[in-house]
Amino acid sequence: MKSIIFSAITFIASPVFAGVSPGHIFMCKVTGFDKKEVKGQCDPSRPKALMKIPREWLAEDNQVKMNKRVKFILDDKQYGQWLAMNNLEMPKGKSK
Amino acid sequence: MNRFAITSLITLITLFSIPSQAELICKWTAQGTDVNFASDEIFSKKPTLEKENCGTNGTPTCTGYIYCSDNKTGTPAAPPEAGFAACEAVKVEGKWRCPDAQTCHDDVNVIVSNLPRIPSKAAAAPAGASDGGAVREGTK
Repeated sequence: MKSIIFSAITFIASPVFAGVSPGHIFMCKVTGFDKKEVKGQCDPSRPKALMKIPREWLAEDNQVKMNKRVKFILDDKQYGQWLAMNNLEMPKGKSK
Repeated sequence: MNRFAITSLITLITLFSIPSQAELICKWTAQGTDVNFASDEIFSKKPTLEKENCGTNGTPTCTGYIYCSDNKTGTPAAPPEAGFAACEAVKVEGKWRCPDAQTCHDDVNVIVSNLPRIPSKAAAAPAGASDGGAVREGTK
């Protein structure tokens, strides 16, 4: 009986993976940068919210210029790290 | 009721209280986005019907790029993002069609990583910079 209950819980506890890839693609407008990181506006609805982006995550680091946009792709681990370094929370229901 | 049963019950209640993915609002990038993802060629393509990638019972799948944001309520959350989505096609008037992006995002029947043939992804395209919000085209 215990094994049945445990199996049921395990099944239900599995994250609900929709048909979405694990890649997270962002585009941010550069508002400042130094040797290690870029600061940028990444959410048009929150223009005053600036986010830190490690430069090592930018595929084309030489494209970093003020008021230009940078596009970068994060895997799940980097995505979690990025949110944490910016004191942000994972969107509700984001299980990918 | 023993301790194990109580623990199981609490676990189940907790799991069912987790919000659903419906709180993310998604649209196809080809429909345009706040940050002009759509100006990048790979994001301007409409979702495509993939007959080689079949869902349940041989249903064709749809693949394409989506742009999602949260519902902007509550505590600060992550910024909007683009991603690659796949879902089962729907039959409309006898023809297979791709559903709207929200339906595609929420489709649990198709998992991108399980597709036998994954179309080219944006991951293959380099990050770019541009002026005026336009995105430089990436290679595919």
